[in-house]
Amino acid sequence: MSQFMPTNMTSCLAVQLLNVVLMTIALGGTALAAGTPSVATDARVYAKPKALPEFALQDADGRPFTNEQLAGKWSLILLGFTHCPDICPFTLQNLAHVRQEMSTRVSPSRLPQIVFLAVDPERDRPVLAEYVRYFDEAIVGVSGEWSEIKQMVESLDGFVRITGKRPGADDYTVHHSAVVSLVSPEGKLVAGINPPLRAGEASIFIAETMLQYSRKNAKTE
Amino acid sequence: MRLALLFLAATCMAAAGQVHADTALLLVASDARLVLGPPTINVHAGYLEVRNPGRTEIIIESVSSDAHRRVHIHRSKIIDGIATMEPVDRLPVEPGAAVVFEPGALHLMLTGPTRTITEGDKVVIQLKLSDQRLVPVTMRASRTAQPAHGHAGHSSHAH
Repeated sequence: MSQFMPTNMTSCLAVQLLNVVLMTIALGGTALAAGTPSVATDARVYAKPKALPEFALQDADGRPFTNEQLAGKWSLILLGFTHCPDICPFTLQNLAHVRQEMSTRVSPSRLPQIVFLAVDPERDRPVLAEYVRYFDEAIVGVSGEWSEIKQMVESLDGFVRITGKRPGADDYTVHHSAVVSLVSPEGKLVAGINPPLRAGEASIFIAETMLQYSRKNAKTE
Repeated sequence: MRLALLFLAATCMAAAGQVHADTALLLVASDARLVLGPPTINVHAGYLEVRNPGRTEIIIESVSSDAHRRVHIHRSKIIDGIATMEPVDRLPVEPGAAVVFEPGALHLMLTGPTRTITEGDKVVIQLKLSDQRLVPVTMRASRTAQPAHGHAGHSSHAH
């Protein structure tokens, strides 16, 4: 091949290279812009992970669930309520599959715990233990007083609202954000992953995000 | 006598033809499954596919169950990241088309079970149409929301 390529071939290669770069960026979405995972997942990776404020909730057995229970391990936190027939149980099942898939990619010590934050304390708290165990023994059910729940939800950049509540009636509606939050062992919100969660893609994304975070964290120490 | 027999045969054939027209396929249901949750929760989800093989629109107005006090048709939505559910009062099924009840979208919410339901049990629901006709569908109770391979739960009736 000649040392000097003809101008039209150079231009053609440049255009092709540009197309590849543009397509890669489009497929990676905001995640790629943040310099993280390679799979196309509908997610938001925080360029500056934000520390969660102090919170005081309880697990399904009534024990305190605070920042201490998030420390030292990765966590996947989702919001929901036990009387949800559709999205919540489906997402819980999917998350359990994601965790199983992740067990092939990360060591057991780095496997995230799944935390189900039950946002309808009146109906949820009496049944929470049995509810989460039904989906997976590894899921931690958490709830608390409404003010604490709301504060936790907002710190995860989430949303919760209950409408149609009347005395004596239990057919009210609970609206809540559907994003699954990835929280680091340092108690920082690292990413938010939107449903649907496909086990293969989501497990790769989460594992890569964890790795990228750990590398950045090691550099700054 | 022969004439009487012929008359009887003709009447029977006419009646059979009429019965055949009455029992022509209204809706065809498939992959009908009732998804069980934890026993402490008296709420189940129902998923299925309903196809209209006919030439006119059919409207499903309500659903009942032989094993639940109430059944609602709901649609799950995630709008701007917020999950919510809205009731569906009137569900048209266009001619030649199907509506799919599936996780994260259209689904049945069945509450107040009237008997213990375990995996593999059959539950019969009735799709009530706008012309008051009923279409029974047999659902199989399952722990998973995914449809079974092939078709599980067929019904195509008219009354």
